[in-house]
Amino acid sequence: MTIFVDGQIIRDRARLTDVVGETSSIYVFQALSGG
Amino acid sequence: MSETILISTRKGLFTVSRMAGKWEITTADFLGDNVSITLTDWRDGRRYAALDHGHFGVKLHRWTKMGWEEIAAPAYPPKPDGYEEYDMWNRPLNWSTARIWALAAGGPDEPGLIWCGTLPGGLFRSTDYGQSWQMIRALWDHPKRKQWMGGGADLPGIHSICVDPRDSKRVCIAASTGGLWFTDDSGASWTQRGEGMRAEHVPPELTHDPIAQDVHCLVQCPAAPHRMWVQHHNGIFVSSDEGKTFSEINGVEPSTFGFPVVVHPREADTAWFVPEIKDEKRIPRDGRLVVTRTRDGGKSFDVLTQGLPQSHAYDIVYRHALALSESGDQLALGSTTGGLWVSEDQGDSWMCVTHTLPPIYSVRFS
Repeated sequence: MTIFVDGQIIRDRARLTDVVGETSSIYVFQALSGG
Repeated sequence: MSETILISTRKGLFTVSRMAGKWEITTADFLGDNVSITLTDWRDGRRYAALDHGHFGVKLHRWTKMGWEEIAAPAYPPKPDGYEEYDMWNRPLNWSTARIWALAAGGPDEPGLIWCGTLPGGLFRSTDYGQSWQMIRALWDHPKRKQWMGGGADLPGIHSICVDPRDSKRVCIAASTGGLWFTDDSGASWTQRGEGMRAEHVPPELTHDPIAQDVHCLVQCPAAPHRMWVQHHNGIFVSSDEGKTFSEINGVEPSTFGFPVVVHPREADTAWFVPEIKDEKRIPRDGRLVVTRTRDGGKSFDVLTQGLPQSHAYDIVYRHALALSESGDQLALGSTTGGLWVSEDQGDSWMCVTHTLPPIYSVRFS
């Protein structure tokens, strides 16, 4: 899956250190791969 | 009328020839090897075949009357000292050719010039019939290139290259994902194009951002280069201004999802698609393999079925696996389940050449 925080793909998928603010928007999308 | 089709598959390159009105497999090359795509240069008849040997790397071969010979494959430059770059999965991005995904001949005024699109997103050009390759640094070094993401594969890649028949310096490429990019100086500078397309797989603020678009396939009408067609992850789009802006074509049955598109060489409003259930399934609807065709710029579509399997067919047709001949009358399509069909009446009827080939990646008239 792909996770966006405030329109940016998160960078740290292992330790989850990307900063999330109080008003941040978070989107979790199904990965597109496989086409 | 074309007499030869090159079929790139997971297990070799097959030549299909028209003999006494029937299409037959006549040659098998590179048996056992993964052939990602081929090009027959319409200017001189040379053929090129790209092979993906997995961890043994990517190779490129050229065919002349003497047979196949290995030539140089495009190679990425070393990363600058101390520089690191990460892909969308936060893994270090190797600057190396992971796959050759597009090959295109230059213009008639550029003999020997070949364009090559690759994963993870590098565009290359050869001016000596593939003997050597130069990376197009202006695109690779473009700051927005780092926003490209995996789409058709885990890594971003360039799959479509359109050379303007009026001016060979004008080239439009498409990346999955990364949208459309245009140069009018043979690659020295690039601008993003593709306003009007729509991506559902990104946050709403990015939905209409041209760089977020997952273009599956881009084609340009040779006789009317202002007309471009796109089969996109989220539908079918058409442009009448060389890809600057696009309009979405809605309401096409059985689906607007798919991978390939081809456009008639002289009739800009005529294009063909292969629809599937959208991304989470990726199979023909109701087990029926069909081709859709518009003759009026997308206002209406014919659903073409005659000769195609209409029961329990689960064939997927990849973005390079639908081809149209120079005449605009012959079509060929190959599927992931090894089926190959040819039409000689613009898709009204199809004949099955075989259904036992390895998974087909690319179909090209030669």
